[in-house]
Amino acid sequence: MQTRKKYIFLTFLASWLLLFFFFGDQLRRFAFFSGRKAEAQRNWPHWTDRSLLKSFADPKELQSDGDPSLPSPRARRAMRLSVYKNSRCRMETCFDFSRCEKHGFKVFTYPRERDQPLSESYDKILTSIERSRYYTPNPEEACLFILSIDTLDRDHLSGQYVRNVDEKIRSFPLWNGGRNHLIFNLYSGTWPNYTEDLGFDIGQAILAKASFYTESFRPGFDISIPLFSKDHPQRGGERGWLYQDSIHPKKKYLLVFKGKRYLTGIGSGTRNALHHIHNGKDIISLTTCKHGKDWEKHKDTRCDKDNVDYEKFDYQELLHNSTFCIVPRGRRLGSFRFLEALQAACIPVLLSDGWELPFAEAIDWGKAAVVGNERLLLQIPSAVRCIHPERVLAFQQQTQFLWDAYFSSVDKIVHTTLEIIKDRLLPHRSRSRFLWNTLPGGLLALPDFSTHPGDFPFYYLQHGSSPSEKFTAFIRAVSPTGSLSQPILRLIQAVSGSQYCAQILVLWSCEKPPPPSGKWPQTAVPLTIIQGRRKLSDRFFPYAAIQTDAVLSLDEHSSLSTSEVDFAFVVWRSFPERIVGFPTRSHFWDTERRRWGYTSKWTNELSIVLTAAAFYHRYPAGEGLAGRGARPHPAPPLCSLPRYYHSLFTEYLPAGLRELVDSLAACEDILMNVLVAAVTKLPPIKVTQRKQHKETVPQQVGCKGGDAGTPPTGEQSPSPPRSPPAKVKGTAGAAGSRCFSQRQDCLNQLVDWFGYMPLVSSQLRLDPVLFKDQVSVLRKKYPRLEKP
Amino acid sequence: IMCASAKYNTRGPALIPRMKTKHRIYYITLFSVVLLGLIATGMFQFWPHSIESSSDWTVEKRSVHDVPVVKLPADSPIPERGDLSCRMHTCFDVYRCGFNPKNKIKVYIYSLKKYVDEYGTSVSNTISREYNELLTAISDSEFYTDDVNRACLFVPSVDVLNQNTLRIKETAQALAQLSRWDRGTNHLLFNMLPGGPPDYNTALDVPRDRALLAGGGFSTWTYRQGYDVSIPVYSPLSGEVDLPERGPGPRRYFILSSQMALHPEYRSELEALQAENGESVLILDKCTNLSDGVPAVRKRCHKNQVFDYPQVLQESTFCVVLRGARLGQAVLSDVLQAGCVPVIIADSYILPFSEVLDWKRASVVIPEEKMPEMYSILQSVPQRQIEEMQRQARWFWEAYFRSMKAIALATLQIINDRIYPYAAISYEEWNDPPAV
Repeated sequence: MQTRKKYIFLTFLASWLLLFFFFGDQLRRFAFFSGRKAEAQRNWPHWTDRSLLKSFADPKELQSDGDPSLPSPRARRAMRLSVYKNSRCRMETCFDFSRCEKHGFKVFTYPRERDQPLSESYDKILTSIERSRYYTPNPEEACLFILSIDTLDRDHLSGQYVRNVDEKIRSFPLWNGGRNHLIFNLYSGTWPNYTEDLGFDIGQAILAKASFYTESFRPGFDISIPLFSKDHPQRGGERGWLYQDSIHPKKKYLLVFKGKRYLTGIGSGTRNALHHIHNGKDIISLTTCKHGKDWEKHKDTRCDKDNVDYEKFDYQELLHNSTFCIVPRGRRLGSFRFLEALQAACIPVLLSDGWELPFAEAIDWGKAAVVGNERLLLQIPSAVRCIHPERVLAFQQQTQFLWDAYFSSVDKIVHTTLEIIKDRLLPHRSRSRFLWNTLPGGLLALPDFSTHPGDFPFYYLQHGSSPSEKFTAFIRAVSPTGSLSQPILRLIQAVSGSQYCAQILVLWSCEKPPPPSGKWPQTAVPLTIIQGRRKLSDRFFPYAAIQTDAVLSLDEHSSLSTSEVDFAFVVWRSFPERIVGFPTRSHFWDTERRRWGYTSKWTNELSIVLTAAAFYHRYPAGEGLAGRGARPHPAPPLCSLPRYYHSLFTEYLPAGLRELVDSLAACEDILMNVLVAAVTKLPPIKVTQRKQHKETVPQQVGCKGGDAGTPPTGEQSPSPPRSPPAKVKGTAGAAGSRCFSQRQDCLNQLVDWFGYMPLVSSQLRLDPVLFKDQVSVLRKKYPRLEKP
Repeated sequence: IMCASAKYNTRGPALIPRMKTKHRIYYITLFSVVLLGLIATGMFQFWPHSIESSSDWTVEKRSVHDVPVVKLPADSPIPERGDLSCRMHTCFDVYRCGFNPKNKIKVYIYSLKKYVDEYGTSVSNTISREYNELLTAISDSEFYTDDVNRACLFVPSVDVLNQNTLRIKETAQALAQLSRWDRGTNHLLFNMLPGGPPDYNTALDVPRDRALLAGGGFSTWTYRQGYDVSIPVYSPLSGEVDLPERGPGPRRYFILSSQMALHPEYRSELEALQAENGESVLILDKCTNLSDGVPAVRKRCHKNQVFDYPQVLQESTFCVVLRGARLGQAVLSDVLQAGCVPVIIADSYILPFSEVLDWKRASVVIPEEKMPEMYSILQSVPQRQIEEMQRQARWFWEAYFRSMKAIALATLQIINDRIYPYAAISYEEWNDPPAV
């Protein structure tokens, strides 16, 4: 080859390369890369004149969006009242808010009529309402009305169907077109269509209904409730099935269903298809045709085989051992499967198109259930397989929380319904979705107290905040002499010496006026004396006066040193949702008498910390002290009121309940412990106490101190004796044993009210790190705790 | 490569044994040129950046005025009116969306056309700046597909953001002749200013059959829960004015009202509040005596005092957002941007993205009838909560109000979450501001 030729060839190659470089893309488009070209996405064009385009609206038009020719707002509001009625009801058009302004949110139930038999479930619903703190027997002050006619079962083929409801309703003078009424319903419509029709005109009443269809649901007005069986417990309710030790989220089966299959009619489409996903290994989907009387008439080719398979598995066993449970629609949209799966921590996979999920206004179901699509049944197995184990565990935990917070008893279902309606009355003082969907749930996080999560003791961790660094000491002075006793002076000195103390409040609950300000000791922190009597009517007083999150509750006779207070407060800051204190008591099951027992013996367990010397968050304190406004839901209206409050409140209560109040008068600290345990499901915390010097028991041993002296075997816990407030003078002189049994009765009545024993036992006591260690006292942070 | 070839050179004899040095250099050069060519080709083919730049080339550099014109015959079909009972399981065809490992819906955008009636008069503005931004955002997002056969959701390029700029019947006809219209199934329309005089309906009046509507200003009676998406009314000021985030805390005014053209009845109620509470309440109105050249939309006045808008919003703790002729107000976006807690007074209004956003954490909603009590209601909000609301308000703006892109993507994500609920974004992801 000649050199010239070679170089020409080389130049040719180089220019070819250059060509390729600069026009490669065009080449690619036209020549051999045409296959790729088709895949290159054709995006929305970048218009050359896009910056010249006009805005969708003139800025003036956007900012002054008014039309003077429009009717005035007031006229418009009046107009809409007449337009949006019945099926288009909303709170602002069909609910009379003015009824709720004067007396707050009060619920009235129509008196039950003798000749009207009630179904078990409706009876439970009415009982729940009557037990609620919103109940009023007086229709004048009611904001919400509930019929005494059983409207739960509106299937006219059913035995519990009540006839002529329309006529009966019209005869009620309070009916008023259904305004401010709440109607409960579990079953509507009948074979073959199962429509949403209730068989009577509900007018402007709010409908709380199971199996609600989104189309007939009036958003922000109606409430979807879960379908529950007549055996659903009135109160308390069973626990969920997920325990702490069963951590592994993946269970034996992935996805299960066992239930009826309808051969014809509404809902049969979904259930007839369920067998397709059955694989016999980790997905078990069993249906039986045995349903109704004449199932054999409609039976198809699969029936015999299905019926045989159906018998091979036990429903309870499947429920216990499956990660996901299919909850398909039945004839109606909701089914019992839903609550069963929720309790079993089996994540519900809903196949019920158009079902307005229970309490969806408050509950975020995306965290606890997989909302499937009836039409995409075959995608369900792969969809649930793709869910990561961490999310599976989170789902399971959420099912347990929701079950326990809103569904485990009729009480909870009904109270959730009421709370949702109450939240609508004052939108600015209602719970955010966060409060509804985080432990301990909306029934226990009361918006009357605060709407800010940071104010509650439960959310510090999630919220990234911490409780305030100071506490308020709250001393109840009850000495009948009207002068300052030695113990209280000593106590004030000790508490005010704490570096964490922000203020001291003395509640002067004596007959005589408090001593003049000159008589009180000089303290570094502000000392406020509240005259108990006069302030009673002001139920908001604790909020205004208690500025800190922590409250140190003390009795006049409590004896504490500054380092004890300091250490206890440091402990409380780590456990702000619990009661932290010194003297403790415990409860036990008395097998002989078949009731709960209460003991002050020195046992190895504790479940109650006496509020004679205890730290707690002002949230439960608010509940305990302020009474009505801030009580958590399960508390009976009477119990949670401290004694000094209750005389005011007895007039609000039905006469039949007054006896109960009186018998419970001596147990407010048990109530406080029960409350906190019911909310947190955790035991209180005991901290180290300096060895008690023996103190002479004051003459007047009330019920509070009474328990200290009562157990026959006499091993007393080192609790400082307490004297009763002036109010319960009647019991003041009573023998210790009577008071002790009173406290026991009180505990049992509380358990009865809650429906279960909320108290949790603990074997724990917290000591400072170097407590009683063999090191120099100088190195210890709380040396005074060990002084004899 | 030069280095490498030099090396080969020294080892030459072993590779190409019986060749003269001259030839060897020649072949080696040839070889390296070919190698270079191959590498270059490879770069073109597989380098991601090159694909992007090449797609830039494919995008037509055209003007909006060059788009094809479509003439609508007067008797072309009109879709039925929107069906109020539509829900995802009745009016939406999920089979188009399919199961895919990414759990993302595919969105197709129709190409832009200019619609004219029989006489050649245009039906509407071809496209507004905001709608173009919105479609660009969808096109750049991972939801986008250009394959009409794989699409699950269709977005018409017919701009219906503002009902006042279009002719209702003809726009409906334009929608009906879209290639995959099919009664509007799986079609998504974006509208921010619905209704018009005299009755100002709260949803777009264009008949749209089963199409989903992402609308600003829905009322509880027109909003199909779980089907429609409530979106904010975009405020173009968001793009123009840069309001730096202001730390939460007390502000100069407690309540501020900045809206113009309020109904006199509302204004007198606000003025009553001001009379009662003095300095802490500031009621602004439009300026009457501005010199020429000053844009009226950027100024507000109280008596003779002139304030800059929207900067003045940052001076207040609470800012009133009252309904006007429509329920959705662009001022909501400005208020959130300023980190001012909106006090929303618009009965039956469905707040933007209310399906996923927890507005109780960022705003105070007060019924119209309670307006006289506004001051005491707001006073009862604890300071700590106010500070959190201020932060939350600003975060909502940054995440969901800031641009048409943010609005478009949030809307698509909401629809996506309905179709793949098991892969949905959680409440926390929607509502919790990213940790600082």
